[in-house]
Amino acid sequence: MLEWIGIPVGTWLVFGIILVPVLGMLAGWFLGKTRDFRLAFRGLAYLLTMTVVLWGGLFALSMLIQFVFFPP
Amino acid sequence: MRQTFGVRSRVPSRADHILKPMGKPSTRYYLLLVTAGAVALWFFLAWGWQLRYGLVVTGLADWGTSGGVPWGIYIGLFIWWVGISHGGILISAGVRLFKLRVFYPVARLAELLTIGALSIAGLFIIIDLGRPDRVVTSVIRAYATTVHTSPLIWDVTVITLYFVLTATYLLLTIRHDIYHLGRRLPSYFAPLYRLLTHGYKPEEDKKVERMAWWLAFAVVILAPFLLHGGVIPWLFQLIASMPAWFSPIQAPTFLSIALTSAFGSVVLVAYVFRRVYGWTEIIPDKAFARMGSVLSLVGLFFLWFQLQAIITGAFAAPVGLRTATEAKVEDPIYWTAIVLVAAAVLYLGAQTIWSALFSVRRVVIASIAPVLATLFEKTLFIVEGLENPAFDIYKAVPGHYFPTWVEISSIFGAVAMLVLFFAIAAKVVPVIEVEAEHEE
Repeated sequence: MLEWIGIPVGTWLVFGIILVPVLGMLAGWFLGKTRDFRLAFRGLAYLLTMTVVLWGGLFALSMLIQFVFFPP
Repeated sequence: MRQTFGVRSRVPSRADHILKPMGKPSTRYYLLLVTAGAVALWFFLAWGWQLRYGLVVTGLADWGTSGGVPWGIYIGLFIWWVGISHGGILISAGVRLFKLRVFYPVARLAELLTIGALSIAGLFIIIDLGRPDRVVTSVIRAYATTVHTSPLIWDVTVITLYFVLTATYLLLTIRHDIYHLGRRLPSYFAPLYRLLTHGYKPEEDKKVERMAWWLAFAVVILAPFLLHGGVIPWLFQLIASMPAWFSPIQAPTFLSIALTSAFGSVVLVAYVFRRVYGWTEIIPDKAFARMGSVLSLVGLFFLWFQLQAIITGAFAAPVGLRTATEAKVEDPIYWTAIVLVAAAVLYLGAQTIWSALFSVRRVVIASIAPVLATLFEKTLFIVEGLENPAFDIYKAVPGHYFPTWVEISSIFGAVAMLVLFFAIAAKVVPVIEVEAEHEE
């Protein structure tokens, strides 16, 4: 029903609604007053690093589980 | 300028208090580590048992022998821990966005609670999988396809965002504190402190405060409205074949339950630190009174949404919804949860109106009730929902769900992991923010 605009539900939900506050935050960092590009990029680097740490850590845990319990 | 760590100097007494947890560990501290470590180890052994022999050891492998319940307390605990994680960042957001200074003393503790609780919540999803070793490759490789249609992937997306935003918030705001307490922090963590304060300049504080404001703005929309009032209830309320779940009221109901458990948990964590380190001035009575007032309000919303669900299901509902509602209201666990929350709401509301009724100890005791109640309610929501589907294919499935020793071990194991997390975090970073007016 909601595909009438030609975009699947999850696509507009994730990229059109869920990510809006995050994009608003990034716009505030980079375009808002008392901006500081050095700090804004530091914040962006933190966001990316924590994403990698989260999923990288999870990947390491999953490989450990595979090695111990489900060896090929 | 290169900062020096581990050198004693004259600092305001507030800093002395804040640094108390980072001092030499006591015997009781080691005892806590050993006890919590043993409980956590027991849980990991239980999980290892489950991995070795499969989910069949819990009866959750398929529709099984548990009355048709393939999701049990693991998923209940997942929702419960995500709910608890809401307290932290919302309290911090309240301080930054709405200038609620009364919550300032507990803001950092609450942020740490968010990080710890959210990590444990994610672990419960891993534990509930038959082949957890495939989770990362399955999610990432298929993301471009599944994001269009899978509520599970929307869930993964928002939880990742929530974790990353909270961690960034903590990393940005902690730089100031570590720099200004620098010389008094333990020297053996100096490399970590240098990393955390890399490139720090005191003049960046106002700009970081502005960035933290934007972070709080993003999280205050994302966490309540799109996580616990969005993707998590959507895992259930979009399933038409489960009458107890299929309702748009699940989103605000989930949110009310999350906030109830969240504020209750922050009260408990703040009290433990206040008692252990004698922080009666650092975390004053007023903070507990106000947190108790907020808890009474969100608890009232909890009860209100439960009333909506019962009256809709009991009056003239379709057969499926009426059956599911009857199963719920006939279960003593449900009424235990309702009575616990109602009792907490009554006392915490009363102490808001008549301050003579207030005491920190009473607020803490009253806060335990909703934390337990939300775990009961959430687990029952999962189990009753699955045991009362709108179809009869699994009608002949025998038995009723009851958590096995492996699952019960996970409850205590998770709490032990949170205790370990706080015990270690409190030794490494200041768990109370250093106010600008108290800077050296």
